[in-house]
Amino acid sequence: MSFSLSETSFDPRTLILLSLCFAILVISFSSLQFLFCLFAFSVCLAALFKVPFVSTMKKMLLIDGFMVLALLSLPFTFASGSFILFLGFPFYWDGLWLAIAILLKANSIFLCFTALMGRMGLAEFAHALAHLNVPSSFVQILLFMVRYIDVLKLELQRMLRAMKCRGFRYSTSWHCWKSIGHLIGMLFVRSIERAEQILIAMKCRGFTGTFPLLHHFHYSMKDTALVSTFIAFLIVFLSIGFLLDGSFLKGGI
Amino acid sequence: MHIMDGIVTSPLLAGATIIAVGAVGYGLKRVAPEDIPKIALLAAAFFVASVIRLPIGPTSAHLMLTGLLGLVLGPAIFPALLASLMMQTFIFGFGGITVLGLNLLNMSLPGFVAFLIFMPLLRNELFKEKSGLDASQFLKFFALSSKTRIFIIGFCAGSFAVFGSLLMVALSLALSGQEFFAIAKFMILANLPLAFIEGLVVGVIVQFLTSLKGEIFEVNSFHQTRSLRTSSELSS
Repeated sequence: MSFSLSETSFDPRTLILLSLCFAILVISFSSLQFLFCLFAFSVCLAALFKVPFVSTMKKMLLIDGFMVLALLSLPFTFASGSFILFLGFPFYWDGLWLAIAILLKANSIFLCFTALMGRMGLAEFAHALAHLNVPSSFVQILLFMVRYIDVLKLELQRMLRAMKCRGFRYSTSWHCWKSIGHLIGMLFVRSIERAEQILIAMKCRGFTGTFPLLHHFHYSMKDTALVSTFIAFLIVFLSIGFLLDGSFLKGGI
Repeated sequence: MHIMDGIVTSPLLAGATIIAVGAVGYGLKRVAPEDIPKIALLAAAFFVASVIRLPIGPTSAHLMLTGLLGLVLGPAIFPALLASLMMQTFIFGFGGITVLGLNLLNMSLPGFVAFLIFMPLLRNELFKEKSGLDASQFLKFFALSSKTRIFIIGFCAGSFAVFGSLLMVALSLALSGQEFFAIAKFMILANLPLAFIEGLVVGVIVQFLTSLKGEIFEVNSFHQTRSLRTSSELSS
């Protein structure tokens, strides 16, 4: 029998808190060796939790694409340490290391979150937040958004399609901006009207302003096992960080 | 305009997170239970509308709409934007969790300040209320019609919010180290046309909303928390 972490269900609260601890650890140190360790750890996590490879890679490439564009300038602007001339411009090695460090940090955090929380739906996440004593009104906002975002998306697509049928085309012109303004205005009007209907419907069902929490998560032995292993690893990384970096929280980079 | 994980220094990150928590708490305090669906749906509409990509010359950009959201939601812009940033983090994996507080502040604070500055002017136009800030007299000086004045207020709120966010992102980058100056400067310059166009579009939207559904700007007009009437109160 093959054991797989992905099939065992953990308490979502545990997963959220562990991911947060990991993220804080990642941004606390900046030596490259340390970051490579953490990146390797998050890759292992992703493998253990059987993260879907293709879709995760796609998302990661998308994020990295954005970042690489922004980080490309770093080796040329980070004016310290030794440099070589690259096409007539000074190319600083420190800037390159900095760019790699930032990439590693972002990717480790992304992978860890995908591994631990990727299977969790937004609704479950909101539910877990409610159990973590996040104010109820915020959780309700989040839940209503999750519920109605697709409705509004369809509404917007419908209106856009109607506009296109009437011959609307995107352009850099006052006409286009005005039409888009009216489109978004209409979207806001419809969402407000929808909200009024929702409120009335909820009142009819006896809504008192709070969502009662009926389902409770259970913190089980599996969670204890996960937490203790995870924390043990984090402590090891913390000491590695101290050894390599000298001080805790000496600043992002 | 989102800042990624690992760029900003930890003290700045910690400070921004604490301020953001405070701001969200303040916003939530101003929220009556009856307003929750409205806030959530407006936040959802804001989220959905950011899919629209406006062409600007050879490139395209999406609207931020935080100025508009500030006008419509007031202090509730903080929880509303936090919810949409969380959704974005969940769906796209952008931004990252450690910078959530900073990104929230960078986006929502200018929107909220736009609300504080421009809402009295807009109320003046809409409800003929007298408020302390009476710059509309100044606009009347130019013999502009009420419709134009509303457009100008919307334009200012929209561009102000974008420009404010740009400055705040640039400032967070600059505070993180000299080496990010180039990126920060480039970012501001590249987004200046967006601030202008966003102003135009928000101006049109505000004009549209006031003529069609002026009460949309009353969502934020509650200042004391109303409690949801329970069924027993309704029946009595």
